[in-house]
Amino acid sequence: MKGLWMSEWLRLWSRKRTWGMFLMMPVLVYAAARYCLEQNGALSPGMPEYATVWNFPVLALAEHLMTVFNLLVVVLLAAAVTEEARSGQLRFLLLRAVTFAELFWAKWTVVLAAVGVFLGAFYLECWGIGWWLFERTETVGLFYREGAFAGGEAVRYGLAYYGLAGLTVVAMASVMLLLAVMAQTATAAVGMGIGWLLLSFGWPVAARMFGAQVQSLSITHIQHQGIAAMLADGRPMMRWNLGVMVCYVAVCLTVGYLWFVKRRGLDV
Amino acid sequence: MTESVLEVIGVTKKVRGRTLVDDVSFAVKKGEICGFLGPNGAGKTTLIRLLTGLIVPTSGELRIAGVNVQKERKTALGKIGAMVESPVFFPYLSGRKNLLNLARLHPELKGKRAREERVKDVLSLVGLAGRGDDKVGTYSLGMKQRLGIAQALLGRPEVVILDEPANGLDPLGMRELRELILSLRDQFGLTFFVSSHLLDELQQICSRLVVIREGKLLWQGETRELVLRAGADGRLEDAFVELVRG
Ligand SMILES: Nc1ncnc2c1ncn2[C@@H]1O[C@H](COP(=O)(O)OP(=O)(O)O)[C@@H](O)[C@H]1O
Ligand SMILES: [Mg+2]
Repeated sequence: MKGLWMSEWLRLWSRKRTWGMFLMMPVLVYAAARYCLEQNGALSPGMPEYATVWNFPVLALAEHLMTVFNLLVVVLLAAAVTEEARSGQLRFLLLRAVTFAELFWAKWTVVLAAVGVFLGAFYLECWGIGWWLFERTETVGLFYREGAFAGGEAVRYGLAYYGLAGLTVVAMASVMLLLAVMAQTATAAVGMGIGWLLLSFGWPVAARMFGAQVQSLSITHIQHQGIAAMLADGRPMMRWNLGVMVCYVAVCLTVGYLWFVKRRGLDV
Repeated sequence: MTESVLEVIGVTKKVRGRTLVDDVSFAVKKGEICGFLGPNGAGKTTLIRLLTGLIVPTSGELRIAGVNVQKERKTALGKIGAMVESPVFFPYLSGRKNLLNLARLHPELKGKRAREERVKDVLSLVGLAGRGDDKVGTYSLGMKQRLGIAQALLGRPEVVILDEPANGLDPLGMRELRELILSLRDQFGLTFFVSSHLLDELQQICSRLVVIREGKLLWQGETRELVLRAGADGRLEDAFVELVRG
């Protein structure tokens, strides 16, 4: 099992595509920093949107989470699951005392680990670039929270924000995994993934009159507003949003697993 | 009496109401090179998928060195090296890196050194030692087939199963393939089960033949029996065609 995991992991990182996306991260962080600097001109210090060294990692992630990280999982899963299964490459693995079930879990955890590495790198790059471009203010404001907070408090908030953001990506990845398992080609997997993203963007608008809970059935809505709401005073949306994400993961992984294990036998 | 290392016992495979393999039985003995013949669509690949545990039979049993492929899949697969349909490698990796990646799935190859040694050995066994560091994307078909055989040898199998390894090879490549199979059999006592839709690709090296058509076993026996059937002046190919036409 460890050998299988390592072979998947090394294969993922031996692709130019993976490294290309990885090396894009600092560029995106820098772009977010320039944008925040511009915004700061129109804001007053102490507002939650006002970027400082302390809250820049959160502002930068909020800028890129929905597009960059969601697309990242689409691309990684299309390559690891759809492409390898449809081309016949998986056969070589399955001819070696590896079961479909082991392969499924190896691929899922390898992609999650890779997303973790991307998210961790993004966080550190935010600190690097933020330290260089932003002020180290005494205090900083936080979304939906009363009062001014010290830098240390903002850092703790940031870590919680990244943790929850990671969970939203896991939930999104479980949907993308299901699509990747069902798709006939890698291109179709990416197309279906983008289609799902567009649907997720559209849902909160269409469901506006039904309120935040119904809107939060869209993972991108949780990414856009839900994380800040979950961390607001009183944690109003915490249980609902976590429940939504757990449901996505449970349903998509179960269906994806059964599909992969039962149906794939005909293809390899 | 030599033991059978590969046994197919009354195997049937149905997919969505279609019978792809129909009550097929045969056995291959240790050290034999067995040809598995049949026209395109006869069910050769399907039977090889069954033998390698990629799919499960609707009924019947398959055994490798006495081990039931369905009940003890991992143990059985540990004894086989196989190439099913034309080999598809990871094109962005070199031949060597492809094998090193697959070698991680062999628990008996413990550590980097052991994996590197084994990969070096199998590359030179198939005559790819000099091209191991080139990307597989740049390989000719013949080289890919040989790399396919190299990956089958990684785990020191007892039985090597090759699905149409001669497909698309030119006459020289075909001859090299035959020589490779013979030399591996002679050096390591490997048993080979090799499919083909053309008799003359295999007849020179196979001591035994299994012939199927439309999923049914048509004939099995020693190659020289087929020669006898063909008569003193008849060609082997004619006897085969007659057999397949029914
Ligand atoms: N997954 C599948 N579902 C339905 N039919 C299949 C499937 N795989 C192969 N077949 C059919 O089974 C028959 C045998 O195929 P195959 O085993 O690939 O033959 P061969 O390898 O001898 O050319 C063909 O008619 C093929 O169309
Ligand atoms: Mg075939």
